Amino acid sequence: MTVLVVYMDVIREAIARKWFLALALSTTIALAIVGLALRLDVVDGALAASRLFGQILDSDIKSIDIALRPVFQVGAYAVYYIVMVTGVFGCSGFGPSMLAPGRIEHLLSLPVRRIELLLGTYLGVVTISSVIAMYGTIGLVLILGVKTGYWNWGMISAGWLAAISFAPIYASMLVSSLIVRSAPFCGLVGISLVTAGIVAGYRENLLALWEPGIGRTAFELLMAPLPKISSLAQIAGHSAASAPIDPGEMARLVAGSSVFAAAVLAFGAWLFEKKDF
Amino acid sequence: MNAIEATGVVKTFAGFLGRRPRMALCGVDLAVPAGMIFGLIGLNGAGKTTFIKALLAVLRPDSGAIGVLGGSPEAPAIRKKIGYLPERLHLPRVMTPLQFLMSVARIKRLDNPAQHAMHQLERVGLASERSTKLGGFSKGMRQRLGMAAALIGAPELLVLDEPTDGIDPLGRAEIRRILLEERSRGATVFLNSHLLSETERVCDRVGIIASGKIVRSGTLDELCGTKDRYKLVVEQSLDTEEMKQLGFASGEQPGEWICQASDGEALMARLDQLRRANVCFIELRPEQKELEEVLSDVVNGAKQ
Amino acid sequence: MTGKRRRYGWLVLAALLLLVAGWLMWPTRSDTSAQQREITFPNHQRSHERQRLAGRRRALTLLNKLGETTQQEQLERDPLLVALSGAAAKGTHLVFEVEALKDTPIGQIVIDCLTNADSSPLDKVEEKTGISLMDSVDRIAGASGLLLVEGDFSGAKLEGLFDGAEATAKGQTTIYANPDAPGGQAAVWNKQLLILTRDRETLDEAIGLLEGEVPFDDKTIDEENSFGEIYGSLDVEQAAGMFPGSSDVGNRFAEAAERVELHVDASEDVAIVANVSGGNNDALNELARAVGGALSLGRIKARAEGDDDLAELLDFASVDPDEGAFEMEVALPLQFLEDKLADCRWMGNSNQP
Repeated sequence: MTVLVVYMDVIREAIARKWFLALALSTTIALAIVGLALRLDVVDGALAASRLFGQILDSDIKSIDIALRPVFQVGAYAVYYIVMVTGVFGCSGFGPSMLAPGRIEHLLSLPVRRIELLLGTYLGVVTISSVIAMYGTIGLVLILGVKTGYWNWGMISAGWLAAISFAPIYASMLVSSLIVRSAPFCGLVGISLVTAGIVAGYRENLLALWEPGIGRTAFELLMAPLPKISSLAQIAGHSAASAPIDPGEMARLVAGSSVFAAAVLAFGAWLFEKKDF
Repeated sequence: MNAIEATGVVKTFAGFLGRRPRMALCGVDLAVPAGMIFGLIGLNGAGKTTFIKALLAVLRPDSGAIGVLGGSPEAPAIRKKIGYLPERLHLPRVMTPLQFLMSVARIKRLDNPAQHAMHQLERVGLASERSTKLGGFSKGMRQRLGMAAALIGAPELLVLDEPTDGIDPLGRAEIRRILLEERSRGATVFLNSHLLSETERVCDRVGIIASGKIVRSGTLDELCGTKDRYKLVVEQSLDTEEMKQLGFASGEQPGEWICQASDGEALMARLDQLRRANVCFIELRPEQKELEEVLSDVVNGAKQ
Repeated sequence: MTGKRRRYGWLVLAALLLLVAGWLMWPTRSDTSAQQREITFPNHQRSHERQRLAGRRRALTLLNKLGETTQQEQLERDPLLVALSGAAAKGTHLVFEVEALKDTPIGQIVIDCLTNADSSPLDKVEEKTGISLMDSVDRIAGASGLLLVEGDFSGAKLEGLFDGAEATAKGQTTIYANPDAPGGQAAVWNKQLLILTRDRETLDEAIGLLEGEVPFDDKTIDEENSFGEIYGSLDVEQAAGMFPGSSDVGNRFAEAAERVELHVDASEDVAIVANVSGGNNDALNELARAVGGALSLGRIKARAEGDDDLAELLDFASVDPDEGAFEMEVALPLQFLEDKLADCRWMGNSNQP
């Protein structure tokens, strides 16, 4: 399958780029620091004392899973938004690179359809960002699990929710490179959509401040199809902290974000098909 | 069968931000028989690269029809049989030549991509650099690698845009050899080159494009040769007036004379006149124009 | 399909998918995240409690204890706490904010028990004294041998408490005692505070505190600690006994703790805050860890037994160690308490006046 070939090429290219190796290495170092610097005393399943870099952290004695909930929640938010931001800046170059004069003509002369090129590149980049997200998440779960004996697999949701949330962001970035072939422009589109997605998650709160009228309706319609980045972050945090979440709401937001990504890619396919190189 | 058939191909590039639209192809008609080396020449901006891109569906003509290897270039099955070298090949800096060629081989669904890749690397003289990152390649090396990518999978049609650009003279000789090998194999080669001397040396047929149209096309003899003019090199000539009276005009080089003869008898009559004047000639051949001169004539004619 | 038509197909698909995305993520009325249980632990005096305290203070002439000496001073103090201070110094004392508890689920359970009994104690008291516990009583406080009831007793017939009781006045206090029936005496201070004791000494002490005849130590009961629906302090032995099945923790508690201050918020589920203080910091720290561990084990046990409600509330349990003390927070689910109290068996052997 040609999509798979393009996909694997993107993965190979990403691995060959030192940037991703540096990211993997820095993530590993950060996890190692947390692992070595954090000492947790657990007595009868309760967190009796915690030390970070030798300093005693002033905290209540609680059941270890309760005590770690804020840690996991903060960790979930951190993983989620770090994946967003590093994904935007780290992956902004793939689309423009594929579309570079001299490369795109060569690629299009090969027996590959334009939609296959688009999909293969998209899936490859999303896979890379997912791997990074899961690496950080699983690393955190493992470190804290080994230290405390408490294995919070709910934290994994932060990783896969971050990956799902990044998918529509990258779709927009990739399609924007078809309009303006520029890595900084792609990055700008990505950050703008992340920001818009955060605002979209708080639309109900913002609508309360708006007088009914055309402006409010326009805002509502504009925000409706956008991926709800902040809402999904909240769900990731709640899931990591073992707090109750509404599975129906999560399913709707995840499905909606995925459909938005598909919509953007379909638009990208239209653009790509009609574009001359 | 024709490897390439183009009929009435028109392509206009839309104006942007106040710029006027530019008609790059104004009704190109061209047929390239299979199994030959065809060279397309023209000035900058004549439409060569645009036409090549239209052949590969990299861009879509506004009107007209293009057939490649009996099918549409839009079809991946047809493009599988084409090897293309772009004018400026942009290679991913972090890849190695082997990885790049294997990627091309995989997209072409070739069995044993590594084997195909190594074979072509050896052909273009880059086997020793197979694991060197492309970021460290010179222009000539990148051009060779592009050539190797075009050759992967033994394509039926090779489309080469400036294949010897940036390559040293010995390298160009290698490329010529490869092109002749491909023709011997039965492939059709469609190339575009500014190096007219290279075009003269390998092409069986040449097309001249000017202002978005094919204005002349044919074999080199048909384009550059003259029917009734002959070039003569003499050992010791008479003075110019005397030679003129005998019907010979002076050529470009000392000792070169041009005569006009409508047929063999007329030519023999001229030569007899020379012999009677005790002028000894050491070379006689039909006069051929340089391709450059032909191009110039064609372009100026097109302007008029 | 021509190339152009195929291309436009993508555009149409994009538009349709965008509509679907908008529909999927359109906010719905029922779009509220699952609510997480919230527990408010009473660990400081809130504004309504400060106002309540301010409203209760009276200008009292007290024999204020200042170190080794005493001095009669006029001080603004809560009379009930003043009267309680003597018995409080000797052991367990608890104050029940009846007016606030009446509106709580736990209060309702207690009231139901009291009103549904064959011979309802509430009816008996009202019959004898004219005091309606539901309407007239604001607070009840208890300590060893002492029961204080605060409310509006202006129309009460307290002679009915004890048959043949004689009323004598002393300052603002009216004392009801039956010289022929030892063990039963009461007093009413300022028609607002009913004092019931088992012995005359305890009654005299309470009255003496209010009338400025018995030395009053401010430190015995801190008015700033009068928050929650139930508050006071527990005898260390009694507090240690609240760890059933964890006798090691109970023993350690008895050894290390010197004072246990208790506050209960019963507005929804019952939230308990216990401040445990003692002299040996190390022993207290060890005790804090042991208590934390016991709570954690209790939570694990509740989960294992399928008591998710209790387990969920034990999620909120914590122990906060400090210098020379630690604070324990634990919540008990309403259902748990309903199951324990609703059959009213706790009423069976109670000593009632």
